[in-house]
Order: sequence, then structure tokens, then C-alpha cells
Amino acid sequence: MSTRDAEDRIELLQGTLDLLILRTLAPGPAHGHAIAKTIEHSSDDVLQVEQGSLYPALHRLLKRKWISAEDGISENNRRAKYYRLTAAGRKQLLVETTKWDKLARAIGRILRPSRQENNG
Amino acid sequence: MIHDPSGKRWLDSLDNEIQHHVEQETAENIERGMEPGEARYAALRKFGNVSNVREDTRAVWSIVWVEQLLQDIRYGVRTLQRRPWFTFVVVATIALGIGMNTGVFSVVNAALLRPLPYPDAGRLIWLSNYDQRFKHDNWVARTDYVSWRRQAQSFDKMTAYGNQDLAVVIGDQASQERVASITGDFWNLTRVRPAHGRLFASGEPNAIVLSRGLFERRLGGDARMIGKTITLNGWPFTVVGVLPKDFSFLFPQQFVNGDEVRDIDAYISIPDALMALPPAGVQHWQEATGRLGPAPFWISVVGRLKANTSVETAYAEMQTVYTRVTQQDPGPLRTHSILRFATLEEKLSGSARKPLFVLSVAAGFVLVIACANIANLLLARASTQQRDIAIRVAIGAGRLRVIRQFLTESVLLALLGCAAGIFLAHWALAILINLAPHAVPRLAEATIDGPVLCFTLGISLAAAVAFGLAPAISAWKSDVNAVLKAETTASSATPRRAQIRRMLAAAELALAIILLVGAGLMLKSFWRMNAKPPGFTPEKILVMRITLSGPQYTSWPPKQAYTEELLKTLHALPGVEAAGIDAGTLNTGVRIGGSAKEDAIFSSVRGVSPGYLRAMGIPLVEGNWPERGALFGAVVNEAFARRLPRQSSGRFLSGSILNDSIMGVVADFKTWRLDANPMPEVYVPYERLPNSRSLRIVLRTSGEAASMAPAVRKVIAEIDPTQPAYEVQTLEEALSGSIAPRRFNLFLLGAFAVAALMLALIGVYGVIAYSVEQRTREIGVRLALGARRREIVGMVVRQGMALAIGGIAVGLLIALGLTRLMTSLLYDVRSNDPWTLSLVTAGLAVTALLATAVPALKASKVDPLTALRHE
Repeated sequence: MSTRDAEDRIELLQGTLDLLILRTLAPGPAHGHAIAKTIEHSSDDVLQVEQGSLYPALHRLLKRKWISAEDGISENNRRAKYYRLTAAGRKQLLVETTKWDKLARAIGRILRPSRQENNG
Repeated sequence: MIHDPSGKRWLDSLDNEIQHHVEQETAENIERGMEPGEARYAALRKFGNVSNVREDTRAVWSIVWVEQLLQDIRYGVRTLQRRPWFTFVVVATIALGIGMNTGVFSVVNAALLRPLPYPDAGRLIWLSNYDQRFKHDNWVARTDYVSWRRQAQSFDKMTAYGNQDLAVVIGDQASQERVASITGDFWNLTRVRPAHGRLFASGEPNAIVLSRGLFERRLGGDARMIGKTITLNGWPFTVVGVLPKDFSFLFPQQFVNGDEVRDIDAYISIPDALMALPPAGVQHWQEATGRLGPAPFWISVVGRLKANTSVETAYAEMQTVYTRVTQQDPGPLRTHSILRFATLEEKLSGSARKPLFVLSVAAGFVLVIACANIANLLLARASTQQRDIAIRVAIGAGRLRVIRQFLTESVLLALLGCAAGIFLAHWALAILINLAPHAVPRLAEATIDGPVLCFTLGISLAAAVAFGLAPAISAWKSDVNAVLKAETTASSATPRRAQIRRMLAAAELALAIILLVGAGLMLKSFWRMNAKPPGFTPEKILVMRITLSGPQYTSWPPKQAYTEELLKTLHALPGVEAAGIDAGTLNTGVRIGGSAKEDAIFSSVRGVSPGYLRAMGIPLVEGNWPERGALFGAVVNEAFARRLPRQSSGRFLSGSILNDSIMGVVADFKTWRLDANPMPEVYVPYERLPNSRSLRIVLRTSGEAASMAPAVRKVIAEIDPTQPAYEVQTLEEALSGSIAPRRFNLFLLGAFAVAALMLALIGVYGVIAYSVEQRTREIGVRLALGARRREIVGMVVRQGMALAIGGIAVGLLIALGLTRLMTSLLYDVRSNDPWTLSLVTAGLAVTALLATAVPALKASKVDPLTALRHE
């Protein structure tokens, strides 16, 4: 991984990538490169993904049947694999998002106790 | 890599996808103004290591346990390859154990487990008269069979059969063949279909169906010969059909002592008119068969139960029928008989059950000993590997994973041994079947088939767990820290592990002595059976049979003329020192003087020619030899004489055909069976048994008996070419044939015992040698401190013998209990025979001493300086 702007960028937690992929696919099917781009852009390039690590994650999701894949034509007129959320995947996205929110809130509460008290 | 198959379709396009991804990223970089080369480099850097990605993605679909298993197998194979000698020894040991068990099981499978090759074989029932006095099955009266078949409702098929050896003449060639005479539902019950021609109907006269063997041997396998007429004992029969090659007649056969089970060569029907004859004497029967055609005097009966009838119901019904038939027609045969009702499979395998059980147990013991040996080897090796294992555990390998690795290696070894063992068993079976095809019922059918392979695989895996578990557990329990802190590998053997190894070696000796005692007892039986009285030289005696058959020999004068001519011709033959015939025996009560009927001595009354006893080489103990060419009185054997209170010569015998004084007493000897104790015998002139047709010829030769056979056959054929001599062999061969099953058992049990002995000795040697090696330093210290070498030897030997004596003592106690199960396999030897027990114990103790002496001497030669610098 490049170290140039390592301070600005955050490495993904294990398993978080799966959640991000599911979220990225929620609006509609996309191919691998597009998913990587979407994750980078929508996090304002803060989240640094080694793009290659996307593929093991995609296959993990395929194996769990949360996404499926089909052949399609990409914007530059090449055959590409388009990934699509399945019904099970959509349900999983909901579960994972809820879990994430809980986790984020819990960690936030620990890191900034006073603010949490004020809000709570 | 092993993958979940559903992942395949996703993985196929992975490379394309990655390439596409990088290209797209490169294109975007160029759009942003990068140089093409730099753009591609940046894209690749951003993507990360392509081959890692590829591998990680594939790994998603891999099945973890299969992956690890393959890894373990690869590791195991490498470990075994690194130590080819260790692998060879272990595989050979397992192969020995597995091979023996596979061989025995394939015999058990053929003799006891595999159903008879007839439809609904489990419902075939053997029906007979059981003689309570002599505890054996008697044959069935023909009229009884007819009544049973008519009255019993539980059976849907019933057949009666008998077998005889008949002279079959085809063209001008005569040969003696074993012919089964059948009636009732025989063909239906066996559901055999002819390979050529047709089968005859029950009672159809003058029709013969040939076995494939006879058809090929005598008719050249030519199907055009169907319809040809051949003669049986002078009666014309038309060949109507031929049975298929795979049909075998497995029903119990009837034969006289000294004869044996042989293949049935042809089938004819028993004439219906004969079946209707009431039971009568032999004379009457011969008159009837002379009128109606050849048929056996006694018959056996097999029935098939109806599909929905239970054995209990059928037995109860048959009991009623049996009692009714017996009451309607009480006869002399009935008094001591009860109904015998058993499945045909029970009847056939009855005598083989006990020996096969003993052999199975023995083979199992050998396998256990082999496993103990291998466990010992692996334990010793585990000690040296301990550091290696500890490091693996320390850097994060799960203990379970380490144990699995051990077990994988054991299973690999066991499977290699299993393959070699199957090969071994296959080869051993071929030899056994060749040596003694009838030693165990259906032995010839024994093959390594599906069930046997399953059994073999099963015991191989069980063995792998048995010998792999001890090292695995000791690896599990070992303390990683202690092992890693220890300075050397050599001192890392824990006392507990050494204890296990000593116990294993002692257990091996215990099992070995059980087998050795068993084999020793059988060997002694064998020796007792083969003990010959002085002067008895069975290798110089040629024996053969002639069964006078054909209409020309229905009455006494032509038979007597033939016999006299035969004896004259044989006496005249050069190289013949003495010749005699045995025309058959009558088992009956013999009264002494005017004694009461109850005091009669039950004996075999044997009709012989005067030269018979001399030809057999039986020593005369008292009185006179019978004169040649004269009708003599009676000669008795010692077993008979012992029953008399006083001197035998001159005592008057009566009963049945006897009415004579005892003129001589001869030594006891075994005429036709080695494993039968001599029973009281009375020899009378063969003329007293005018109904006998079967002649057993005995020739004492001056040279080698076997080489006389062709000349003897030739002169016999010259007297009457339609009366062939058969079963021509030396008496030695005949006698050794009579104990073929026992020899089979002895041979196998002996082989097992020898294997057990070798393995156990190797085990003891291994344990002691290893412990000496482990204690080199200690021995060095002792020597340096002034211990004498003699004391070192004593120390090691004491350690070894403590183990050996413990094992032997426990083994002897178990042997005393177990050998009682073998009583029926022994002859003239008690199961706790002190002679055998002490000899075996002493022998094993001495060999165990030798096995410990070698490492002990090695220990005494340790150089203290080298030993102390050893590490």
C-alpha cells in the first residue's frame, strides 16, 4: 500500500468491506471496478481499499448467496461481470447496517463520554 | 486445491475480470493525464498483488477440511518417504496382520456367511434322523421321505437324494464317477437351468444329466452328444442334458469311512418303484436295484419352507409328522432316533464353525500384536519428534491439528499395509485352496470380494487408530515449555511413555504365548495322530478301490470269482510283497462266549482276505496269522482284547455274522482315518460279507508304492475292463488326506503363532534396545563411577525379563482359559497339557532372554568417555 498519504486514509476493518459492497450494490448492479470507484468516491477518498481485495470479498458474498453475478457490457464496450444484490443480500444489508450503527454508537459513547451524556 | 463445485462458474472468469479492472483503471489514469506506462503501473499498484488476489479469491471457495487433509497427506507422504526403512517395516508388519485376517475372513465368508448359491437358501431345511447313541445324523428311510413330503404342509418343496460311485462306460472307456440319484423337487429347489438339453422329470427312468466337468472330460464338451446312450453299472442311460459350469452340488454327501467329499459328476433319478419299497435288508435292496436300476441304499432329505412359514411353526409341524410316521411303522432303526431339523447352512458349516472361530481369534491376536509393535515404533519416534511438535504447537498449530497429522500418517501406513495385505491374502488363499480344497466346506469359493474388502478396510482403519492413538495422545499431553527448555532431544522421553512401551511389549508376549500354546497343542495332537506302530510303513502301501458294479455282479458267485482272480493276479505281480482286500465293515455288537446281549462289545467287524493284515504291516501280538487260501476264524485288535477280562485266544465270538473263536490278536492301528481313536475291531474272512460290492485293495510293495500304480491299473483292467480301480494312492496319502481339515487348521494356527512370536520378540527387543539407547549417558556415568560391565548387562536383562515374565504369566493364565474352547480340535491331548505349556513357556522365556541379551551386551560395551560427551 502506498504510504504517501497514509495519514489521511483509513484502512478498512475486517468484514466492513462486505458491508460496503452490499451497500454499493443496493441502488443497482455494478461491475468490480465500478464498485471500487463508488466506495472510494462516496467516502471522499478517505477509505483506502486495495482494489484487488474486492474480489475475495465479492466471492465471499457470492458463496453466501447475498449477491449474484451475470455477464453484461461495460461502458467501454467490453464484457464484464455485473454483481447484483439478492433478496437475501438486501436483508443482510439491513442487518449489517443496524449492527454497524450500534457498534459505531457504542464506540462513540466510549470515546466521547461527555457528549454522549449530553445527547442521551 | 479442492473447491466447492458451485464456485467454479464464478472463478472461471476471474482472470478476465481482473484484467478488465486494471485496464479500466489505467484508462481512467490516462484520462487524468498520466503517461500510459505510468498509468498502468499506478493501476497495478492500486490493485495490489494480482496473484495474491487470485489465490485469496480461490481460497474463498476452498473446502477447508479437505485442504488440510490434503496438506496432512502430503506431509505424511513426505515423512514416510524420508524414512523408507521405517515405512517398509511398518507396512510389512501391518500387511502381515491384515493379510492373515483377510485370508481367514474370506474363508469364514465363504463357509459361514455367504448364502448357498440356491434361491431362498436360508429357507432350505435339512431333515434327518438323529441317532442319540452315536450323536450323528442317520440317513432317512425312503418311505419316510414319501410320507413327510405328502404330509408336511410347511414345505413347498422337498427332495431326497443319495450319491454313489458308479462305473460309467462311454464307448469302450470305463471310469468311476460320483453320481447323485435324486427324486422330488431337486431341480426346482436348486432352480438350476440346463446349459444344454433338458432336465429329467422326477422318477424319469434311464435319463442322465451330466455335470459340466464330466461332459467336458468324457464327451469333449460336444453338445451333439446329447441323446447319446452311455452305461452306468451296465444300465443304459440317455444323456438328456448338461448343467452349467457354475452349478455346484453343495448338499451333504454320503460316503464310507476313508472316502471324502468329491464333486458330483452326474445326476439320475431314483426310480419311483424303489421309493415305494418299504425298508428292508441289504440283500432285498440289491435284488430290487438289480431289477430296477442303480440307486443308493440310504437317502438324505432337504426341504424348502413356504415363504410365510416360520422355522418354529415348521419344526412343530414336522415333529408331529415325524412322530406319526414313526408310530405307524416302528422298526429297529427308530429306537434311538429323533427328528433332526436344521437349516442346510447350519448342517453344512457345523463342523467348520469351531476351527474357524479359533483361527479368527488367532488372526485377530496377530493383528493386535502387530499394532502394538507399530505403536511402539511410533512412540519411540514421537520421542525424537517431540521438539519438532512442540515448536509447531508453540508457533500456533492447534494440538488437534497436530494429532490429526499423526492420525493421517497412521492411516496412510495402514492403507499401504492394507493393500499389501490384500495381495498377501489373495496369494495365500490360492495356495490354501490348491492344497486342501475340501478342508473347509466351500473353501474353493473363498475369494476376496466386496464384503471381504469392506472388512479389510474396516480393520485397517481400526488398526490405524489403534497404533496411531498412543503417540497422538502422548503428543497431546506433552508439555510444550518443558520440551522446548530441555537441552537435548535424547533425554526427552518421559517415564510415562517408556511405561506405555513396556506394557505394550508385555501384552505382545501375553498374546503370543496364547497362540503358541494353541499351536503347540495342535502340533502335539498332530504328532499323536501320526504316531505309527513299529513296522507300519504307509508310504510303501498302495491302496485303491473297486466298486463291483453292473448286472453281472448282482450275485455272490461272480463277485467271489472276480475277487479271487484279482487277489491271484495281484500276488503274482512283481514288486508286490503282500496283497489283501477289505470288503467292508459291519458295525455291530459282538458277544463273548455266552455273554448276555447287553454285554456285547460294539465293534467294527471287517471282512478281509487273509493277506490283508500282513499287507497292512500290522504286528501280531498273540496267536496266529490267518493262513493264505484258507477260511480263517476271527482276529481281533488290541482295543477289542482290552475289553476282555482274560487272555483272548480261543474265546468264542458270536452275534450277527460271527460264529468263531479268536485265533489271533493284532496291534491297534488306524486304517483309514488318523484322527479316530482305534475302536474294537474283529477281522473275519471277506466271504462273510457277500453283499458288499466295494473292495478296498491293499498292496505292500517292495519298492516305491506310487510307481506301481500304472502296472496295477493295467492288470486290473485286464481282469474286467468295465470295473475300473479308482482312488489309487499310497496309504500315506490316504491317511494324510483323512486329516486334511486338521492339517489346514494346524498350518494356519502354526503360521499365526510363528508370526506372533516373531513380532513379539521384535517388540521386546525394540523396547529394550531403545531404552538402552536412551540411557547411554546414565550407563556411562555408572561405568565411570565404577560399575562393572557384568552389572550393566544384569541391569538391562533384569529390566527386560521383568517385562517378559509379567507378559508370559498373564498370557499363560489367559491361555489356560481359552484353550478349553479348542478341546474339539485336539486329539489325545488335554487342553492344559503340562508338557506343551512348560515347553512353550520355556521356549518363549529363552527367546525373550536372547532378545534382551543383545541390547544388554551392547549397553555393556558403552565407552564412558564417549557416553558422557554424547550430547
